[in-house]
Amino acid sequence: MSAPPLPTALFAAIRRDLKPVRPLASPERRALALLPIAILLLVGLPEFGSWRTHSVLAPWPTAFLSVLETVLSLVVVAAGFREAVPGRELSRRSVTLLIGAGVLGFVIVNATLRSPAGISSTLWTRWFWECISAAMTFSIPALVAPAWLVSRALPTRPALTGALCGFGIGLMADAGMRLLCWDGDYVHVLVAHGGAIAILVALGAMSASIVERIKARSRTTSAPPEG
Amino acid sequence: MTTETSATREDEELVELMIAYQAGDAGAFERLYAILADGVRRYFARAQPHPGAAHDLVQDLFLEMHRSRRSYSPPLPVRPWVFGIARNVLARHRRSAFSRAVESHADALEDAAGLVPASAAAPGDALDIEHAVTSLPASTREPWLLHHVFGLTFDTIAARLGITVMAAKLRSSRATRALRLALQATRSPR
Repeated sequence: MSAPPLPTALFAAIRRDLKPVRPLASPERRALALLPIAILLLVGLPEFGSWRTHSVLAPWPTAFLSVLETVLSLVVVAAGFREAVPGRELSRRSVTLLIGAGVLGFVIVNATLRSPAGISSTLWTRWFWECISAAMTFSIPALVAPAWLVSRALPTRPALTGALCGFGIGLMADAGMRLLCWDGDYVHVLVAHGGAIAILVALGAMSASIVERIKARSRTTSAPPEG
Repeated sequence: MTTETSATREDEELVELMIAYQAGDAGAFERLYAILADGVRRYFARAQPHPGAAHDLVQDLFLEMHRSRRSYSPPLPVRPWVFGIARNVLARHRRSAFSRAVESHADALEDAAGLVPASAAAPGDALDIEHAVTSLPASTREPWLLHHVFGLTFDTIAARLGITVMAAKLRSSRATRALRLALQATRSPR
């Protein structure tokens, strides 16, 4: 079948706006650009938390596992960036594997660190809010960076892309959180630290969907050329 | 074998054209359009039976491709990238068709109530109709309103809602049946 002729108005519109562009860096490289944020969350979050609450940080040798969790978080963010590029979307199997690896990593890393002191039942709610708020204070501003990087691409499934970025940032924050809060209560770890990650996943999905909707609206209002 | 070789050569050419296009070469865009337009038009035509809609979507796709041209990373194959954008454009088109239809609800409801002449319907009857129309499920209400209130053809409705003509007819007829039953039910006790 022969190709349809190129509409004159379309070509004129393209020509008017045509200027050289530099291709986006690979998803892996863009994820590496978030390394300073990852380091800030790994070192800054526990240091700031310990200064504010006078709590004792986890012994430094255990920080090795936090570094591994940070690496895992960068892999998840890179997968999110890849998902945002048209034609490079992740298969359902890859998404399942990635989420499974992330959750497993979170559980294993947190299960290996247990302080001899547990949380008293009277302080449980207070501790819960302390951890959630500390994680959120650092992670929500950190979520802006991947959201901006995603908005430069064109995700077909913005909610999934945003959720992956939120998951990655959540793991990044948890790598620091586990050094600050290493209480012996696994339920606290799962509910408060895991809950912070879940909130970030939801925030990531929501913000990416909103950004894409705004982008789409601005594109539909600029009318396509006729003819 | 020959077809495979020519397909590979075309894929290589597409990569070179995309690199030239990213560097600001308008001629490369023309050639890209010549190679890709027919394939994407067929893709849209399968999803959108209305020929006018497919034509508009092809234009939207090339505009979107232009805006997102930096998201292509050479030397990856060009076609998956283009069809990824096509999926995105189609999804956006469906979303906007749906929201357009939802936005027209309020006006359509007013019109539906207003269409019943004063001699034929007392104010209470107009309220019954409005209530019955509002109670319809959104999937059947849309085609019914667009056909019976706005007078659109089923071809146009199908294109606007991104469904087949048969589905549009079926949904509208289900809505009519549901309205008849609802109005009979409200009138019988009087």
